[in-house]
Amino acid sequence: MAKRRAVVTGLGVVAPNGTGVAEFWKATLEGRSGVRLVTTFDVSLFDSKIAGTVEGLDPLAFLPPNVARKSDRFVHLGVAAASEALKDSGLDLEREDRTRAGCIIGSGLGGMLFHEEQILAGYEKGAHRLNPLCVPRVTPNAVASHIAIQHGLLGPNMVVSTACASATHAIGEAMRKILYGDADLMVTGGVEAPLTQFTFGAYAAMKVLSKRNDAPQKASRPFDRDRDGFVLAEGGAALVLEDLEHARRRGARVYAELVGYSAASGAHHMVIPDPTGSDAAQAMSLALRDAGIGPADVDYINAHGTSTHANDVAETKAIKDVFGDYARRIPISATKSVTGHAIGAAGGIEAVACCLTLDQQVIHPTTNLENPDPECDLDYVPGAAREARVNVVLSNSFGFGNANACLVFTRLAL
Amino acid sequence: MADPVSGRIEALLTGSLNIPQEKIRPEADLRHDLGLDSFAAVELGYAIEEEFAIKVTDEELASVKTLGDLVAAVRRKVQGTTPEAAPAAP
Repeated sequence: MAKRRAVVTGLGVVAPNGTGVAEFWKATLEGRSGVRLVTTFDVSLFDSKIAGTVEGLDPLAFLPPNVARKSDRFVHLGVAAASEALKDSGLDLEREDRTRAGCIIGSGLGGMLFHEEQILAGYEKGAHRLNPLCVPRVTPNAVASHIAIQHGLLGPNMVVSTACASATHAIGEAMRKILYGDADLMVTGGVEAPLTQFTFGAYAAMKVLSKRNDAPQKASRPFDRDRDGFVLAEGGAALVLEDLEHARRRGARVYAELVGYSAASGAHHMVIPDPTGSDAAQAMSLALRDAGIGPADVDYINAHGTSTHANDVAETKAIKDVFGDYARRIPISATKSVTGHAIGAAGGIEAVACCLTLDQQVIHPTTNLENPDPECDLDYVPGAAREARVNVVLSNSFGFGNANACLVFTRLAL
Repeated sequence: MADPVSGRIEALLTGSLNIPQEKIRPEADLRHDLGLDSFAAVELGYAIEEEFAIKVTDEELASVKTLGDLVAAVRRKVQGTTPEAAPAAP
């Protein structure tokens, strides 16, 4: 029996700089940022007052009114992305064996908005008066459950929570479900809705957020000398992963093949990456080994690139460690330069960008990279998008707590 | 004059529980006619507690069968325990 292979046949994204794949990709190629002043809650006492916000999302476009009203924003973002990806895949789920179709989504936080509202209500009225929807609205796996309920997916269903690497781990684990024969179709990706007063405050308390409030669109500037922290963002992204034979039988459009995945820990610190980059290097090397691809065959790296000194320098060191002299010749870009950092959704948004890079043979720029940090001296594709021959892509995600994951995508070799 | 207790309960059913207006009748069985499952009944009990500022016990909720029973039970509670939540006298 031929080895099973996992291919990407559908994409969906709800990002600060674009709702829907087409809008997101155009904005990303053109370097248009989705970072804005926060208006949905009071930021007057925070040093940082900006975030990557998703504008104009209508949950009623893809959820029944009673479900939309009783679910948290992170569910809305996730179901929106999944619905677009499934539609894009052309799958007719009525004709599929739904026990072979599953859903694994990454989310670092779950339903924080309702959680915060209920904690405040509990202090006011007593914890014995909490809303019965508290658990089903807040629990992180609500997003995978709602996607399954809306689309009738009876296969593996779970949420992976590894902070900033959540979506990347989710996509890798979904790939394994297909390769191991547990499923033929997986809806996967990531989601986050951290733009609530307390959650924003929690990130602000770590002093990691950019304070460039006078120029929000310039605030997320990975690898730039003048960066001053990352920009918190919300968003959702989904991929339909499919067994190659299944995709071929139905004549599906294939964006890319997912050929490698790594999950590794630096076992170093809850917040700070290993400054030598050794844990990031380990994660990249393991993903390439899983893919059976040598470093010299990688044509593009989608960096974790958070716009923090700690990440950008360590990631640069790690890339040099893995790729040697070839590191200087690989184009590297950071999608977070235009989306901000959507935590558990980030790796999903970036996986969508990787698939589009392979499909359209164009690399998006690292926007706002105007004065490179001397410690970051690789080709981060500053300025404008670049047409290039791209057959192999590596995508990096390094989560708080050193939860690291990498994916390797290729153009489908026929 | 419309019964305010009944109207407010109907609004909870058609609003937060998404029950179609045409199903709302006093004799409607909450479970079989209105389709309330066990969790929807819990949601309704919570919504009634919030709306009328009363306490609904699990036993009370379980003993109610029809919408009419529910309205009557809430009316008794509202009149008996919290005058300020009852309809204002003209």
